[in-house]
Amino acid sequence: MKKLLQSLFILMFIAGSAIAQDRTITGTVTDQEDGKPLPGVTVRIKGTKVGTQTSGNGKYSLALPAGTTSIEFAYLGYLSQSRPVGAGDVINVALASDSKALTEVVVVGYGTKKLNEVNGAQATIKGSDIADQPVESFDKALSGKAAGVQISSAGGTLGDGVSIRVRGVNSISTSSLPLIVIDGIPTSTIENVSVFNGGNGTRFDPLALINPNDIESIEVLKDAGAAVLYGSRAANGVILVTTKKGKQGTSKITVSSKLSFSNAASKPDVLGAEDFMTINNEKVKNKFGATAPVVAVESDIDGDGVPDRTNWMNEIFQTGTSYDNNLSLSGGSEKATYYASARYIDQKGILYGNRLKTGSARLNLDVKPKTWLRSGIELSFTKTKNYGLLTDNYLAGTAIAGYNAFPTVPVFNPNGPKGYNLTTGALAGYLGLGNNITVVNGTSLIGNRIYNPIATIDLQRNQNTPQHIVGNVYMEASPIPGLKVTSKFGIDYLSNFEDQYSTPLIAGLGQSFAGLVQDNFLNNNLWVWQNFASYDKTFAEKHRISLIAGAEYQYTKRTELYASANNFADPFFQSIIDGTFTSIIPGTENVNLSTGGRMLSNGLESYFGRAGYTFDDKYFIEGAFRADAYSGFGINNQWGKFPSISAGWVASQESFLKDNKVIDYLKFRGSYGLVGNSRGVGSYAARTLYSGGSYTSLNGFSSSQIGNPNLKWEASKKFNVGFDMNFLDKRIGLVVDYFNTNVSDLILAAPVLYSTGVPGSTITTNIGSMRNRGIELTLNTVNIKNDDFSWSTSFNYTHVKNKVLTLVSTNNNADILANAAVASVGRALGTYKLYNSAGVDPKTGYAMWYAADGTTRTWDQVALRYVNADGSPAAALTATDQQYQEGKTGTPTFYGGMDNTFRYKDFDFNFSIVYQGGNYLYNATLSGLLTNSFQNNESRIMDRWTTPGQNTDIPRLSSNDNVSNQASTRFLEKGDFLRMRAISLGYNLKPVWAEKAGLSNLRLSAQLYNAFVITGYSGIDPEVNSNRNNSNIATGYDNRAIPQPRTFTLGLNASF
Amino acid sequence: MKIFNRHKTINIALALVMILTMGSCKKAIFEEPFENLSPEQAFNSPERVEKAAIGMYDQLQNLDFFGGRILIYVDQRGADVNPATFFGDIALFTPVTASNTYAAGAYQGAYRTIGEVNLFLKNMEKAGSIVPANKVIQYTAEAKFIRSLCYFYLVNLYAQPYKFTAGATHLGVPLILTSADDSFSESTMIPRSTVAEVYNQIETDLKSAEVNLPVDYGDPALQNIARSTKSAARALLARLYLYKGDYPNALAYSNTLIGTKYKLNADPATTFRIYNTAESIFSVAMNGGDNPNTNNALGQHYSPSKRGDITVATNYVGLMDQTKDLRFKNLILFQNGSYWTTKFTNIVDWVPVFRYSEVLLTKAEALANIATGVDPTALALVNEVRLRSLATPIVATDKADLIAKILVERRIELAFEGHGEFDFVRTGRGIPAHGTVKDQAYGSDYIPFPIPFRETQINKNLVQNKGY
Repeated sequence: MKKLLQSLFILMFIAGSAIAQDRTITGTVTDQEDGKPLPGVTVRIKGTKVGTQTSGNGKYSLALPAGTTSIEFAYLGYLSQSRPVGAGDVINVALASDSKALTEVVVVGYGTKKLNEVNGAQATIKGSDIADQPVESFDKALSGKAAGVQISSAGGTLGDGVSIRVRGVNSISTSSLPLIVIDGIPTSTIENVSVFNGGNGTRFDPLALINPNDIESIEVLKDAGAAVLYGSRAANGVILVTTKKGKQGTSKITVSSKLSFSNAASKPDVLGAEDFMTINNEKVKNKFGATAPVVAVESDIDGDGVPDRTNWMNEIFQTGTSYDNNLSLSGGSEKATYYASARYIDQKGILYGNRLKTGSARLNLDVKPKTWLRSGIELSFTKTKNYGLLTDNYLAGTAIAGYNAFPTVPVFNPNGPKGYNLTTGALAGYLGLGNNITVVNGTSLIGNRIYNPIATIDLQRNQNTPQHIVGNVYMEASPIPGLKVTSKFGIDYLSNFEDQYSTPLIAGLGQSFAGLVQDNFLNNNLWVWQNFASYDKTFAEKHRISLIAGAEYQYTKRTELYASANNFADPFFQSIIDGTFTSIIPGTENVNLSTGGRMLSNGLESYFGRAGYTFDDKYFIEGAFRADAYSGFGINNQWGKFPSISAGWVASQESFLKDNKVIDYLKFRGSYGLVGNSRGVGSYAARTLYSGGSYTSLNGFSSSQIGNPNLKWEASKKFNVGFDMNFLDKRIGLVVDYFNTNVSDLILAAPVLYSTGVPGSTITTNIGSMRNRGIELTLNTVNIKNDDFSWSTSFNYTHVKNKVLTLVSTNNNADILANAAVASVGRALGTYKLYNSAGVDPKTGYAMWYAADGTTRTWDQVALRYVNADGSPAAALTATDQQYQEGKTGTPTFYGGMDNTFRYKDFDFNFSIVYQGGNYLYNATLSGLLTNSFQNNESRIMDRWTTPGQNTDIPRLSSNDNVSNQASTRFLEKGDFLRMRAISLGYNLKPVWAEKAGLSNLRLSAQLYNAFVITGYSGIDPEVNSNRNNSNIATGYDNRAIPQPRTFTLGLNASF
Repeated sequence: MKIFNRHKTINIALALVMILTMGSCKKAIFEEPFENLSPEQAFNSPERVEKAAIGMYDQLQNLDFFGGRILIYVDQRGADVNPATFFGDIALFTPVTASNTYAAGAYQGAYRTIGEVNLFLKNMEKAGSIVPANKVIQYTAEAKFIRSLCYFYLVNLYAQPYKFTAGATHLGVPLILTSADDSFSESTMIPRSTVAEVYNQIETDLKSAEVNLPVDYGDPALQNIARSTKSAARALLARLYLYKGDYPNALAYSNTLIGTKYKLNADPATTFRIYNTAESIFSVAMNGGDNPNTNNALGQHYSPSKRGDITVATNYVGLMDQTKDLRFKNLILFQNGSYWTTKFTNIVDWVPVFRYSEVLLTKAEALANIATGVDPTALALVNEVRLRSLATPIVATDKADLIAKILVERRIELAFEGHGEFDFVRTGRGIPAHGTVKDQAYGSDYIPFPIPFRETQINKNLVQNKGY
């Protein structure tokens, strides 16, 4: 059959060629603007289909039949030209770009569309905007680049996850992260490859395994009109990543190299040695009276004859140097194109001991052996070694141990274990505190124990080695014009080897187990098979239909294998090596049972279709549908059906605007549809389960989950209207959208009473509803444009307002709590609920708060109880005294970015700003660093109350008093900020010089990333979230979050 | 043209076939869990039901409750230890609020264990004749013992002591005795029963369990101590009656245990090193597979060679003659400026619940209270405990003096084993000042833990404790 078809084409060709040939015209087609050759321009005999295309250097050669009067030159995005055939054999043409036409092609779900056909809300980000930024993962680089997309970094730990929110927070209990699709293949939903320490130890986001240099473009699908083909996974938006492909008629080698230096943009301001001693002795004097010993004293632990001094901030932070080398090859012929790349990046972070070493390679091949057949392979492999560390959740973590450590003791002690200042004997393995007195009257003053953060990192190991293969193979046949049948098979294979070593010299696991190695192998294998057919046809010139229908199957299997070894023969052995350990728990005969694992799978079966109709490139209407069945959902509700409808009107094509001199393009768009969310829902979330539950050496099983056979998707009804407008010769582009998202059937980890005994005291249930409304605006302007100088600006703004509508009605709609924030009906998600601070009583220096009845409660540090304003005993403050902080949440209500690009001759200069605000941050870092334990403090503690009559907001000091600095509005601060995200300067070597050097292009660049932040927030950075990337309620919680880096990068980019 | 059309048709047909042949492959990609059993599977054979019965003990190891924390909380709020930063302000009483995470965790942990027991009973009933009748009786008795144990600590931790009101009519905790089919239903919104009602339920359950529990499991190394036995039920009954002030019954149930296989070890430290000696009546067992992590074992919090969170109060050490008493010499350590207990030294220590010495002291206290003067048997029993530790025997001037000395002895002997606060308040005494902690008078609103705020928010039938 195929042979027949082929011969048919040949026949037609011969027929075409059979027309009598007269002569041949040759020439070059160039761009009118820059004079560069244009490859791929269609050159044909006017009025016929006979013609050719220009080659890579813009040249063509066309044989003309006798009687040809003119030839036509057509190229996407340019005004067509026709030229009469005269006496000469050479016709050179310069094409001008068409400012009225919007012929750009954008990637959409399961295909591409011309930009003017898009009715949904969709934003495009160019790959070059991403690759420029010195961040580990491409999602971090999206910050401020598109309206409706808010990116919050969790801090400056390498590989830490990022919170991506498209048009607000769209879930309460489950994930609000969008679906990420790479070259059509949905990626796994693993957000952190680490499992040890509950994922709060060393963390690594697998998105950092994608080489940003390989990205051609990113599309963010924001509304139902754009995203509905991803049905049950579209409610949080969809991010389509398209990797680079080779271009016909070219061949290019590009080498780029970057060198960066990064530092913490801001560090906590902790006390120096003298202030530290003053403050900590005052705590003790205030608590125990004048006879109390002086506890904070000088020591000379390292024996160098002078009192020890350490600036721990200089120890735990470092200048991170990175080297990033990238090679790419691309090109192609008429029948095949290729893109290949290799990258090696060695990145040191701003935290001492933090490092990533990543190698990656990619090959994208596209072969078109027949005009009706195309096939391709896109394949990438990445391997990373992540030298991680504990940061904020663990006493040994850098942001706890480092911030709390005494500035009067050293890091090193020549006589200590391995030369570090570590305790030995009882309470071994902590930071040695020298002559300091830590116990008064039998009571410990230091609160939680203090670790030596440097020894912790130097002597222990906390590593991840993720490996990632993402690839797909596809075949696309078009048996008849307009019809394309595609079959595509893709994989996303992610593995990780997590490896921890804890030394016996350091307290905690290593000390308890006489050395402990813990390893975890994670394998996550996801495959997708897509089969779909699309058909496009234009009837009677003006009517165009486009159809697509298909099926998709996705299967994911995750396995983990865990092993540990302890009680090593010698500290020399630091890995699981045969015969080098006994795994006996020291001091017992018990073996540490140390082998474990996990195994789970899930499947998604889907059918989808889309039908669009266009009239005269003016009126667009489209309906789309997807049905998904997910194995994790309840047997009663496994199928979800997601329809959408969208329409558009290109008003600028109407006669009354067609010749308008100001408006080039104006399209009104609207869409309404239903999409779902299931991200974060476990493989067996709907089931009632028994799991292994052994009791010492007795095997058993116990219940682990109470299920819900009706569990289904979160339903998100999305409405969107907007317009796209270009005017003044495309000098100004404006996109405005209004959206309203109603989320119902929220997948809530719905609280049930503790007294029900349900595991975890929650049942995953579809209850509750929520709304996100907002507007988005994108404005692109070319402010100045002439031969030598140009200035363009791109600005975007988003405003989004959230309201929780219903929660669990059988629970009295009780609030769902997370840190100091709640989900509460009638309020924005994450509204803070805290005691209202009443400041510090100037008479006594005691902290005061307002009770629910409006009276003040004072914490009497001596009587150790609450008292009234007159000093008489009062009822204790309790949970009912916590007040809703109306309108104050951790999630920004507005955000956006602005890029400015200037070009002067061969130089370009760019600065890029991101901003956000309307939110409040809970500064738990500050409350923690005002501790009354014998630890180091933040410098603001110097303002503490000392004398009657003194007005201050820092209470009197008193050893071990945790109440005075308890959570209250005192630590709630506005989170607004404007960040100078990047300032870049580039120089492109003049083409003539480059050519002399044998290059086609040479670029030198320098960039300062995260140059400065303007904010009223008093903590180290307003863009933090100690709850990582997947918290929906407590989003503005700063509890010792790691600062953001400031990075200076030098870059060189050469292509041949 | 006709040929072309035919090919077009063939091509379209082929494309459709290509799509349709995929068919539904749901069967291939939707798999049953690899890691879990359904409740039906877990109860479909006698062997599996036995495993599910063991699962109740797995849940008894709940890290927030009988994994050890409950013992710590009772002692943090007693007078023998100093406040530990790890446990927030629970030792200081007055700063504790209804949002306190430890108060919430213990409540959740206790009911989690109770919930597992109730679910086990429900599923076993559903399984019907699959389980042999004698096993149904045994498992039910085990379930009731575990549930009673949890309720006993719950009611004493979250309510004023039994004798706080006449007839114990003050509020206790919600009594949940069945597993709800719908955990959201109104029927789960159960109000607090009175303390008397909770005690009565425990008493009823224990008496039934006492009859039906095995004497032992033929496994002296583990199950005879780590699983519910007749003796364990009797030990809890003895303690229950002591707390009620029902001395004749306390005496009677102590007597059921005295003169049996239980005896004191020569060294008071032995029972904390070798977990299955004749001194241990019931303990929650642990091994290297149960509790190996950093924060959840008694040894982690008490041992200076581990986390070392909890130091011993000087008041406690002062109760003993440090030159003689083995409970000082062998169980107290002075290091880094503080006293430490060495009862719990590592991460696999069993959690002691009933030891023989407690039974002896319970009997002594019962006798001392029943007698009008100084009961010589009571004195002898106290001195049996003292002499084992080579402490000087006590003498008592009158009944009150004897009772006071028994209570001191109880404090010395059972310190850090979850009696601290309870032994003060059940005898009508407040918590004395110790270390930096102010005294807390008997009847203080802050002696009971608060009912968790989350719980009172959801269940409007729950009344919060006074003062929270």
